Amino acid sequence: MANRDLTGIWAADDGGYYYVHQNGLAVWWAGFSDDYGLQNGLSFCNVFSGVLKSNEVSGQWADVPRGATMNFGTLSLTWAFVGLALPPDLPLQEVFDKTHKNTYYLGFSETLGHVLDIVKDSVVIYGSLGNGDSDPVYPFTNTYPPSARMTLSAPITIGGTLQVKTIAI
Amino acid sequence: MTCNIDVDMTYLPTDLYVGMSPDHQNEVAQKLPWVHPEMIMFSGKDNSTSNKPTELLPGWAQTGGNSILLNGRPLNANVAINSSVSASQICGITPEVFGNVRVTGAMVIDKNHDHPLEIHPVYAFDFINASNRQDIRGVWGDQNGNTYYVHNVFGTIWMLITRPFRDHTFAAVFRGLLSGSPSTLVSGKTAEGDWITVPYGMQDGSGDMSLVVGADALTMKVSGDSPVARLELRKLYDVQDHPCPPLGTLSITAVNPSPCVFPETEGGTLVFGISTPLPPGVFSAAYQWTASVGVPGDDSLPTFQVSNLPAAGTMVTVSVQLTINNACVYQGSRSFITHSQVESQWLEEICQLKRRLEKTIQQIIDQSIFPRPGDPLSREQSIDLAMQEIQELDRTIAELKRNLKP
Repeated sequence: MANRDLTGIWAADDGGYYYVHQNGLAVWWAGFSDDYGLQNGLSFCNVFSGVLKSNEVSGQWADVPRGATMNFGTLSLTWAFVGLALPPDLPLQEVFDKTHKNTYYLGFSETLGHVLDIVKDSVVIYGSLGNGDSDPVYPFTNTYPPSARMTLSAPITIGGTLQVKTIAI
Repeated sequence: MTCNIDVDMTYLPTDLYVGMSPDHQNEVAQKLPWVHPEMIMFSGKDNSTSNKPTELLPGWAQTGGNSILLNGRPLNANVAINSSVSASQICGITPEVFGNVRVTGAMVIDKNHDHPLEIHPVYAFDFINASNRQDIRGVWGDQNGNTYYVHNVFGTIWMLITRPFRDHTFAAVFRGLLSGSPSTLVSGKTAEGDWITVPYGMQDGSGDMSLVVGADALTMKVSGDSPVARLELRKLYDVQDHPCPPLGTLSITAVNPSPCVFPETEGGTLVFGISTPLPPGVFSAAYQWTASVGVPGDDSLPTFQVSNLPAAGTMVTVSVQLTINNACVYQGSRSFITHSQVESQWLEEICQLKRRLEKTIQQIIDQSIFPRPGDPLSREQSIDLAMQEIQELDRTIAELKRNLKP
């Protein structure tokens, strides 16, 4: 049984994706909720550490704050997962060439690829906020929504108190 | 949605210039420390087969997993825009000039304007607002773009390490134990344990890792043999959670009672324990037992003895207060009425009869399913025996009733 290798990406019936690494009889994973988008693990995200014995893996787990829950506990499971492969990311230039900035709609034919010269795919920087371009008090400037009809499912206020769900300009 | 950042040049990624063309290297070096992050509202393309467009990059008005993350949560268009087209609140946070931030995204030169250096589109934005509350639970970052999601479960440290969005080169998990007493400050403590990669990233490895918490509990230093060894982590923001697991009211049971023995008898002795299972990660448990009557034993152990139980018909209440990890307090109690010696004997006899009857009935059931030639009793004999035992039980109960009448 020790030669069984659970290492890989698994989908579970809780809707999550489990990135499993088996090292001997030790089994570890990072579990990510499916948030139906570009990024997962936002509803829940957990780390598991356990041992494979016969046909069962048992051990302890704890949520980590990538997700919105902070629970922990023990669990035992037999695998009923479906193996997956990590989907490859498209090169960023290819993504930029397809992406219509700030709107999905045709007529805004300009893509990110037209206006941006990629220096580096992904950068993380630390710093402090400077003055805003439009208001010395607030560092963030927002000139959108643009001239397109769109529906927002989340709260947005414009002009201080007006709360709208649908913006039509 | 845009802003301007004065970049902390002492904490730049050590590999910032790796992979850049010489022209880009010169341009970036000239334009730093100023960077202009830009969050895109929507970032996708039409989908010819569906009314729903295809999102290709995070946008601030996209939702859930397609949204830009602000302190780890989807921004979901939760922005208050005032009349001067500035954002006075984002996800309930009021951004302030000079506020410390971490910005994740693609580094680009905008060809349309004065060729500013931009983070565009922004994938994630973090307001660095961790408080000095001596609690390492939260989200941490290092100089090289890794994010550390930390949960402290009663001294067991669980951690996920990821690279930024679109970077699947490395991802790992860690589990370790925090040194020292949980009742003292975390400053200066060390979490020692094991790390191992997970296939959320491409790299493969495992080993030891130590995290030494800084004096203010807002920094940690990593040592060991991992790719993040020797890096210093900065705490970005706190997380709220419930440090005490929901155990509910504790259940108290008699410890190892022999079958058909009723020790709740006047003059008798009983030993109690807690049957509610404790969660993992409990490193200290303090017990405080009490008994309303009788002679109590040591009241600070996991089990509690009460001897010299009072006269028959007396209500006895045993209570416990359990404090785990010096922090979480739980309670439970159990009440019972004492029996006389005679009552206990009758109860014992009825119980023995009941057990014998159960055994006989089980035999009948077994024989009807798997009849075997060597069985000591035939099915008919077993049924006869069961009938006799039922009659005996009836007689015993009737006699008990007569004896218990006042």
